[in-house]
Amino acid sequence: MASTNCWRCLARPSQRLLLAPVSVAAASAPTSATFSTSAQQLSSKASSDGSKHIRSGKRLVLGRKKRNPDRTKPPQPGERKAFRKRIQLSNDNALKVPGLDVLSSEGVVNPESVGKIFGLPVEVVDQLRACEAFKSSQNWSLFRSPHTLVRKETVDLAKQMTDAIEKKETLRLVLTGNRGSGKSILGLQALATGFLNKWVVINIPEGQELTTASTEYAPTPNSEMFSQPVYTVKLMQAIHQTNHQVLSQHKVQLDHMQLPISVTRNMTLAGLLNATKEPDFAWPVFQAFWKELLLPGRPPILFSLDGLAHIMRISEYRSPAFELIHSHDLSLVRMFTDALGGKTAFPNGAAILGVTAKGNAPMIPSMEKAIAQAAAAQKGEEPPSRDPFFRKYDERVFDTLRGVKVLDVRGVSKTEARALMEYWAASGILRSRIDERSVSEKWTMSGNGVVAEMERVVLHDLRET
Amino acid sequence: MSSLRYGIRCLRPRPSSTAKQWPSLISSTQSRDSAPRRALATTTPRRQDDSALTSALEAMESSSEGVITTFARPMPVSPAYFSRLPQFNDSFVHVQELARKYARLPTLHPSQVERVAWKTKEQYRITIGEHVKARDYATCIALVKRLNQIHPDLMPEEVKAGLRPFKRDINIYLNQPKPIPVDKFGRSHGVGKRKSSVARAWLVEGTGEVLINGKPMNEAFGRIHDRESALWGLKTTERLDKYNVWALVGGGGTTGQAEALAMAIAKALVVHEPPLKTPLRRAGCIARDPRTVERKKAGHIKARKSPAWVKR
Amino acid sequence: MASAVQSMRLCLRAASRRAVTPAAVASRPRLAMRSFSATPFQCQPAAEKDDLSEIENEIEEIDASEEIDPAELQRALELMQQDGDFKKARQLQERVITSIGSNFTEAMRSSERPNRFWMDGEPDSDLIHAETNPDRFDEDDILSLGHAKFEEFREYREYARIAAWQMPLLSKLATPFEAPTAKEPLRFRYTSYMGEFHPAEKKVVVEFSPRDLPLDEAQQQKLRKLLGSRWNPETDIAKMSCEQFEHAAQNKRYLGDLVNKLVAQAKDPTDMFEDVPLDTRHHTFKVKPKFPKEWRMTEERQRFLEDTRQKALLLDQAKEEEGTLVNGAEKVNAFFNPPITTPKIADMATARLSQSLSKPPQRKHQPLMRR
Repeated sequence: MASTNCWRCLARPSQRLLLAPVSVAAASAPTSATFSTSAQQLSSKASSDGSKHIRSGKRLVLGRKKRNPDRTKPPQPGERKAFRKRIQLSNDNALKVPGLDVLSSEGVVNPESVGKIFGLPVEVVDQLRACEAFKSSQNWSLFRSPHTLVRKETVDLAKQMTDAIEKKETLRLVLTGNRGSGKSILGLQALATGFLNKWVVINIPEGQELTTASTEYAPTPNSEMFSQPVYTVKLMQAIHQTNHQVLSQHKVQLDHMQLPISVTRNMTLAGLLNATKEPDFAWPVFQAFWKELLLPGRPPILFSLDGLAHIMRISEYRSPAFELIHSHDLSLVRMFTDALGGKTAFPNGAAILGVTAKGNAPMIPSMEKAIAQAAAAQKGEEPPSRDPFFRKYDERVFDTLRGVKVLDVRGVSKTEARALMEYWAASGILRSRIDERSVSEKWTMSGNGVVAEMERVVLHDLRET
Repeated sequence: MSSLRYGIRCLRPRPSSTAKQWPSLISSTQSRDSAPRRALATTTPRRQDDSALTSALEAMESSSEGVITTFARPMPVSPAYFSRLPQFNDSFVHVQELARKYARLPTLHPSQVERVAWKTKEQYRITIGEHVKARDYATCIALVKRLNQIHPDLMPEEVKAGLRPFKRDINIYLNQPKPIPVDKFGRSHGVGKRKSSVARAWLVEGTGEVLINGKPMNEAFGRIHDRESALWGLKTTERLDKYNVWALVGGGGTTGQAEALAMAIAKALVVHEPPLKTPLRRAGCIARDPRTVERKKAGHIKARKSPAWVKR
Repeated sequence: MASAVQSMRLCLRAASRRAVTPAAVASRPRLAMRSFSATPFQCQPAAEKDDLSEIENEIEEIDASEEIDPAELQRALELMQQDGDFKKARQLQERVITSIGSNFTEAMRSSERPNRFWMDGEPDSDLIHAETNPDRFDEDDILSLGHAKFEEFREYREYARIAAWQMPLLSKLATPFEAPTAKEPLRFRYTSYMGEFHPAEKKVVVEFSPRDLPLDEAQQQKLRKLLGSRWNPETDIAKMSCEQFEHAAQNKRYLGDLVNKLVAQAKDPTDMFEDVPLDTRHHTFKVKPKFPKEWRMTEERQRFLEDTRQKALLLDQAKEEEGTLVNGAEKVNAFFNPPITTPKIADMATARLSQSLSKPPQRKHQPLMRR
């Protein structure tokens, strides 16, 4: 009868016999092998719930709360991320702001439109959404429909882009600026300008996605590069969706014999993009598409990337030799850096935009130094020299950013701030009189008109009331 | 007998020294009187004890009479000499006399009298070195204040002199704060403190730009509340778009820095616009907040927290 | 003890019968006996009292008669040694003396010891007596404490005299400051502890600027590179110290030699270190924020400010007149309580009036907005 002894609670067998009738039944079961516990366990399982541990004596129960198992389904894989990345572009609770113009290709370059709020055209909104230009950190969901403030920088940038493209030149430009100063919004406005002007717009919404080893990668045959097939498919779909109207007017001109899919001459570029959804074929097809775009007579290109710092460092991918791959060895990134570095010739004119980020960005000393040098060269000043005793400068970053233009985004002026606040007030967010005094106050509080800070200050007031 | 001898020694006039006095006394006793020599011996004579002593004392007095003075000790100047608080008692009595004497002189209303810094009880105690009772000093100083209300044109010299021991050496009410100038660039400078932070602010007319340690507002203070409290003086007086602020802040944390800055800006603003002092004071920007971290005490874990009580 | 005395007395008696007893032999034991005999002679039997007095008399006689015949003494001694009684007595006496010798010396010492418990009878050389004899104080002098006070005053006065009379004379020794000339580019610093010994006294520090040395531009640059972290890039001053030798002069000599060597190396044209960048990693450059110059109040600035203020005022006024001045609260109210007339923004005034009258219904509509 040794097995009747409960080894866990170390109760005396006699006591246990008295207190636990269930085990008594078990004990009375035929005991063929007294030293074996298996039969015992089996029999006890039959009589009672075997998973329940039986204790003798009084038990202290704290709180008779019954745990209700959550009947709701757990979120599907990817559902949480989708919720996190959800972009809400309209809010029915917000007031409609009447009397605002819609952004047009002429309005963007017009200096008179500085300091005015413009609505984005519906088709452009769709295109921007398709190319993921809107970000969840931007408070689009507070307003009834997407509107943007046209700032001095916006007009400046749009003018630079249109001028360069008119002259069939390439504008290579990096947007820098303090945190929350509106760099990404300016990038969005540039993209909108591209859509309005019927350019081919290619947007990589997050440079981070390419280098943090979050998408698949594969070595490209006959080269030391690595392609990212799944991301390329996604990008091709986005390009097809956004630029369908432009690309369907142009037909394939080259023979693409090496492609795994058959490409005929009467195929449009849009058809070429849409020809395959197979990740294995994605990179060659995208390369063919890029070659077609660079032919003379094609529409101008606007190539933009947000989060420049992420593609200026060593990526988290590993080569077959288990060495970290430099981001510039990823073929898609290489395509962008070649374009930004001026290695690619664009016969139809192009604008290459690199948007830096301050929030989620690694510190890249080489990039900072290269941008500082480029900015100084732009102003005609003596470029700051590199630190001679710093070893980790990346020559490829310097090559990429050599000779780029730098647009430093700062706080908005007071007239722009006033327009912005009037828009907010008209949308019902800001419930106060908007006059010069209140505008000036918010402008000062936000560190001389840093847009994101202005928003914070205004919402801070809202919270108090 | 030895105690007697000591008593006699004490009685002798001060300037002369015993060493010379006694022999002369003895000699004079011998020469002038016919008193027996035994009277001054330490061994007690068996008969006519008292008579011998008295005769000795008489002899001594008669001898010292011609030598120095008629007094055995100097006369005290004041009749209060043997009281516990001679100086205070003197001046108290004097003040009482003055008050009685000049009770009918015309007085000014207390609000019209020029403010005088009177000595506090502790200060008075220290200056005269007597432990004056609080109640006595209070009654005395009330009389003094009453006397001080006498019209300044009719104030007798006697009263002025009588009040002097109760006045502080330096009348703090005559102090004038040093005016802060607006410099040639139109800047005014103000210093503010809070907790362990110190802020210096230069205020110049402008468009409402703020630079703190060379940085814009949003970089200097991450919290909007701090930004607001730093510019509170300008905000409440609606001067936010009229001035530019250039400030240097150091020490302490963000809250302390922001509130130190509020004080500095308010002080600098008062230089530009003195009538704003009252509204700024009401906004709580002028007064220094004296609260700081309380020091840790021995036997405590923190300033006040005691170690956990353990039985035995 | 008594028996011993007895036997000795017998012995002496025998000797005295012979009428020849050496004084030294007889007197010494008697003295010793007396000094520490516990039983006095009075306890002798009365019958023998005559004997004792007899012996004493005899001894006195012997002592009195100083002339002793040596031959007779010799004979007496021989007789005594032959006598058994004497021998015994002699042995006993010796034994007694040796046994109590230690006691005797103890007794001798204890006679020197003061009889007081606290040893205060003995003069203590360590103890300083302010008054050796207090009774003898004539009361014609102050106490030693007073004397010490006087000494202190004297010292003060002495220094005061020095300050008044001798210090001004020091100005005669003063030499006017002469700025170091171009020929003296080195600046040495020594440390003095005013005659006290200190281990840091030997330290010497030299400061110089490469610009002041007789070098051209390239050589100066080379010198800066050679100096390494001893060179301050902000002030362009190099600072070196030495305390490895025993005396300051030696250290100074070393530093001078070192500077000479450095200059010589800097002048050496074989390798000018042009490929080596100037290292400033040892120094952190401090950026001091400066008041912006464009904020300075000038007349121009004043005009600009007045202009902007005027413009701002006019803008507000114009907007108000135009009716385009946006008020967020009014906008929200206007949305929830739409005016009955044509919904134009220009009719804000009437709208406001109606709102102020009908506030409760506005409250009712509030949940609509939430939804």
